[in-house]
Amino acid sequence: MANSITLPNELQCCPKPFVVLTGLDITYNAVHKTIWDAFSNNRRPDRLQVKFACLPGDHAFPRCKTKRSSYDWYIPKGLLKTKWMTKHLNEIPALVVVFFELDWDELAWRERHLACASRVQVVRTSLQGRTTKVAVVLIQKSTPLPPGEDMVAAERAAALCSACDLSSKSLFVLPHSDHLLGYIVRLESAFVELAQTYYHSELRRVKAHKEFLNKTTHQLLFPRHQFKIAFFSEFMQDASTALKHYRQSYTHIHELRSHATNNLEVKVVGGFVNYKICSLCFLKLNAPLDAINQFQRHVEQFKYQFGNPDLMFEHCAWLSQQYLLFADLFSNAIEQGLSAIQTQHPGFYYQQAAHYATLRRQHALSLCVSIESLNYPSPDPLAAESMDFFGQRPWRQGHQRIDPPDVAMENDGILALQKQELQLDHSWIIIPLISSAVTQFKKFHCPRLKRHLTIKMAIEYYHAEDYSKVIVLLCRATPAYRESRWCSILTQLVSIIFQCSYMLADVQNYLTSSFELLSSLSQLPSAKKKLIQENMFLILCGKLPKYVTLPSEIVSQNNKVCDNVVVPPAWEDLTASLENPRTLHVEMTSLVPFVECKARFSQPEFSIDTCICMEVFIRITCPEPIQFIELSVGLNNFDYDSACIISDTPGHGALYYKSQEIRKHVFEFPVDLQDLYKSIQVKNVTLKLGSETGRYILQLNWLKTDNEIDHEESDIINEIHSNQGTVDWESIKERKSTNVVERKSRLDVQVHHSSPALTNEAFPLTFVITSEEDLAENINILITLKPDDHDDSFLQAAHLSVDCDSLVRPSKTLEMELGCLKRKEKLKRTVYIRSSVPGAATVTVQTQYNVSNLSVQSVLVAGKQLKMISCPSKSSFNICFDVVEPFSFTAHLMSMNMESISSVYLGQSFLMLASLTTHSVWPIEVQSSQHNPPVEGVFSAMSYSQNDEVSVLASEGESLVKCLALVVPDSMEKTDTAELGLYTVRWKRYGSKNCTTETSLKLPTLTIRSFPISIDANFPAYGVLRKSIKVTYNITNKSKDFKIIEAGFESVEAFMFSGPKQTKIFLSPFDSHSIKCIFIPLALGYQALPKMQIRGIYQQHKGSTELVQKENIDNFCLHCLIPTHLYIKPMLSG
Amino acid sequence: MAVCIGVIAKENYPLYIRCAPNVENEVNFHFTVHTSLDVIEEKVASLGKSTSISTTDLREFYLGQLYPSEDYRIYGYVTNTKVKFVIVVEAANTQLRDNEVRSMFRRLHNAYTDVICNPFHVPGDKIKSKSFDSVASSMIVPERKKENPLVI
Repeated sequence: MANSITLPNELQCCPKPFVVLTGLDITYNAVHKTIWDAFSNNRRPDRLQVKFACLPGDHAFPRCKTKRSSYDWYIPKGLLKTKWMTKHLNEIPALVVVFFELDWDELAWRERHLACASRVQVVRTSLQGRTTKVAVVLIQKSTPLPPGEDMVAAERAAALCSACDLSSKSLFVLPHSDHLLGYIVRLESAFVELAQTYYHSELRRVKAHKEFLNKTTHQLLFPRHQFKIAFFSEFMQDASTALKHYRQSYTHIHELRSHATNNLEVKVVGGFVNYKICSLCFLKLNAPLDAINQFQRHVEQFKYQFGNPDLMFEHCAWLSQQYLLFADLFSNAIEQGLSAIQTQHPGFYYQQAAHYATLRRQHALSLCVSIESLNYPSPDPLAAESMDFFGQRPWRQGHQRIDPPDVAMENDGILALQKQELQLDHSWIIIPLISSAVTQFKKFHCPRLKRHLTIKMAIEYYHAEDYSKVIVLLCRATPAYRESRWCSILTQLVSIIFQCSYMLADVQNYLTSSFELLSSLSQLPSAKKKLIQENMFLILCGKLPKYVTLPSEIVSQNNKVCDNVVVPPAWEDLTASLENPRTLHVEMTSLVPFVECKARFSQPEFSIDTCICMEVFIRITCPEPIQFIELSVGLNNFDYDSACIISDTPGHGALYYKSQEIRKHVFEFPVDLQDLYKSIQVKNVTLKLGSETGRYILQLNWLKTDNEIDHEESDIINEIHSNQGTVDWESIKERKSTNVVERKSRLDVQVHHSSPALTNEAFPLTFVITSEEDLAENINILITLKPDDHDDSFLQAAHLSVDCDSLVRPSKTLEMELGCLKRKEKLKRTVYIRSSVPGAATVTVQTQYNVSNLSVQSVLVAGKQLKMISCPSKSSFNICFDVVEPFSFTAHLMSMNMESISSVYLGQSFLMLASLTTHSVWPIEVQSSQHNPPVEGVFSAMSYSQNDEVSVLASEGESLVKCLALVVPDSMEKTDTAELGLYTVRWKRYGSKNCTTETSLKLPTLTIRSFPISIDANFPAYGVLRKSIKVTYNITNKSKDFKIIEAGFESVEAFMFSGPKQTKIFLSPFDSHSIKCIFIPLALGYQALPKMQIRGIYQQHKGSTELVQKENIDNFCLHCLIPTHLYIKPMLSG
Repeated sequence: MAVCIGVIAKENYPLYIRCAPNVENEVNFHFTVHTSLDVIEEKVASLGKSTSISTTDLREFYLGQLYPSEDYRIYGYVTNTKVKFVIVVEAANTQLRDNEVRSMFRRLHNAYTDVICNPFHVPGDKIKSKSFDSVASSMIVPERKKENPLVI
């Protein structure tokens, strides 16, 4: 049967024109050999599609059948002849080419050209009756001249043609020279053209048959002829015509009456034509959708044409093959650049092929019972020498009637087919199909479909009894189902693993699959679970387990593992005695087992002087009680291992669990000092099952990786009440790591201060430390100025110190060793902070101390008394306060006449008003304020004591003003500006006992002007009515130049005046001149004096006379100390 | 009428799977429903890509036929909360039209919403609701004819 449905090779290949080359002696003649090689070797895809064969000149081609003139009495015996395609592909050439060595200038031309003609004649004879074309190629040594030039050649060629009875188009010349390949390629295309004409004529010949056919008797010939036409079209490389005729052929096949006798034939040929259509659509015409549609119709139409029910498997095999062929074509097309999508790709077809192969097996096995007793028929009905038609039964070839010719023969034939089928191992048909499908699904992103197929493959291996492969495959597939909690599927899969490992006596897998079958997710009935659990203990004790059948839906019912299974011999090994029990490790994290475990630390952190408390929860979901022998927890520090272990012997009860029990085990252990500031993590939890006297000890190991960080503070877990036993397992959150922190400080540190602080002030922070410890040793306080996140200018300007006066070694941090402190003892320390700029200050205070002899904290753990030699305690907190400016300072300049000025003249006195205004909430006591003039420049115009009185600025906004008279000496002449120096204020908070603060304030810079002369006058403080006042104005030339000054007085009503009204004064350098006047007051009160006017100053400078500008003079006069008014008293009576 | 109805949680574990009575190898339908997730995921991903974020709320829940199978047609439906509904229909059942499948899904979705609205239902648990069960079983082929075992 397998032979009858397999696709013949000639159908799978793409037909190419068949051209036979004769007259080439490729064994002895090197020239011929190179010509043949050029034709046959290196046929790249860009060369024309031709098939060449080199045959001897006298080769006997298949004989031509006598042509039928009429189809009247012809009854066809089948659809498609088995030999027809091969015949045309490989045997009957479209063209025979005769190669002959003959030059145009051959001396023995006459003999040679006749020899050539006879050669052609031989070929013609052997092709008798065929329309095969004949061509002659003359192999010549010299390159031919261009056509029309060589008259001899033209003449001789014509002669040769007539001798050989050839058309001139079938005669070629092949010069054997350098460009052989170029000539060959040109020859090739000429050959193809000739071949095309041959196939075209063949095609027309077949077409011509049509008119002789009638629908009743020649029904089989319609599809056959269409097939032939299509096949010839393929030879002509005309894919679309070929497709058209294949489709017609296909339609004709469907029109055939299908019955039990010809069922297989119709299906087989239908499959062939379908294959051709699909392959043309996919590979030649790039119409994948057409191919898919055609295939779907094909399958739908033939799916229910089962044929003989006894040969049902054959139908399935055929369907499976159809799918496989289509899938192969599809994937070929994809390799050639077709793009497929997730829902339409070859994988589905491979999967269906596998599906039908499975059905084939099912049907085959269902026959198993009925034919087991029968012998293979003899003579062998399948032993036919050759088949004339595709898809026919060997025992009744050519039979086309509805009823089989011989019923007994028919039955024998069917039996023979069935017997053959039963010998097949279907698994090895199915598995490769599935693995092809798996590859495709992997390519097209279908992980779940791929996994499903992996399982199917595993089931096939199960049928093939390759159990270890089953386990490998299933172990690969199960994790995904376990993760996504598809319990139904998982149970089925684990059941198979369970049974396979039983068959293999694979203890490890047997036990792990038992674990999963016993778990809560497994959907097995509890009776089965009990059996499984019993078996588990039998194995641990070294006894043979009983066979457990599990209801398995995916492994088909007629599997070979039946109820009466003998215990596989491999289990015998189990009972052999062993000195020590073997330990098996089981990784539980990757399973869904019957015993679950959660571990957590009771707190997210523990201080170094306490005991770490770890809780381990165990949940049992198997149906029967269970006894473990050891529970241990592994931490990242192995030193604790001894504390985290519970051992139990049967009967003791600590590790005896009832079914569905959840129990909490608590481990407490002290912390190692080395682990301070480290994290303690749970690495694994191990439960041991079995007994020291048994055969196996199972180590169930849970790896606890800290991948999910769930340090929720609020997970107050429902505490387990041993009497209630109802704990929500899901709500138990694991906490797999904990941090060890230092002992909590029991020193009370209080800080007193009165903020806001003032700039430049030594701001006191008073620490009061009280001990709650019996004895705190090595107390150490570290005070640090904490940097501000935004701005570090404050940090730069601030300092800490223990001493307020001198601020020795000002620094940003301050460490104080305070020694020991007994219980309830107090200690007081003051620290000063000084900042030169305002801002917000944050100071961090860290206290650290050691405690020894912790008698109170000694803890009994596991019978050992804990001794702690010393342990550090630590605490830290922040103090925040503001720093503000205590006062603001302004300096104001005035002339001696109390008028505001912006600049001063050399040698002229002026006034400075210095005023301090307080901004502080605290009253400020200003102890002194002092002007510190610079070494050169401004000095005090009057000598007076600077030791002024202490003044208090009580409330915000109050000011302290001081007036100073200053003068810029003439020696400063060269500069335009002069420094006024610093103004130093010594102050402190009112009432504070702290030292005073000295704040130096910078005074503004003066603008200095100079004037060539100076004027002064001596006036009395007041005048008396009608009493003369003698006044002398002194005008001094301060320059090195000669000066002429025009001066005068304007008279006023209040004074009688004697003196020059207008005068010109000549002043030599550094000379001075006095103008003497007498004023007699005529009115009382504050009276304007006659105004002295400088009308013009002429100075001789480097030989020229220039006038000093008028504005300059006016401006200068303003600054002069010449009074403009005088107070006049009345005459004293008497 | 469907042969199998499946409801799958956002995290791709089954919330509810019900097959027609009398089907052999119920687990095969579990596989069918499970494998259809491949296509659902791909379709949902491509939907998310093609439409902008603002329209995702308004997107079509019904995904249509999922992947070709000779014997069954598999339809998918995804809610906003990524709960998936899968309906498996026999391929032979050609009367069933697309909008009928849509309305089946809509009814299922409504029934599922009712289940979720039950204050005693813990979201994420398997569906154990009688009313949901009755809705689902109303859509399932009541009794499969015992077919000729030779028919594939």
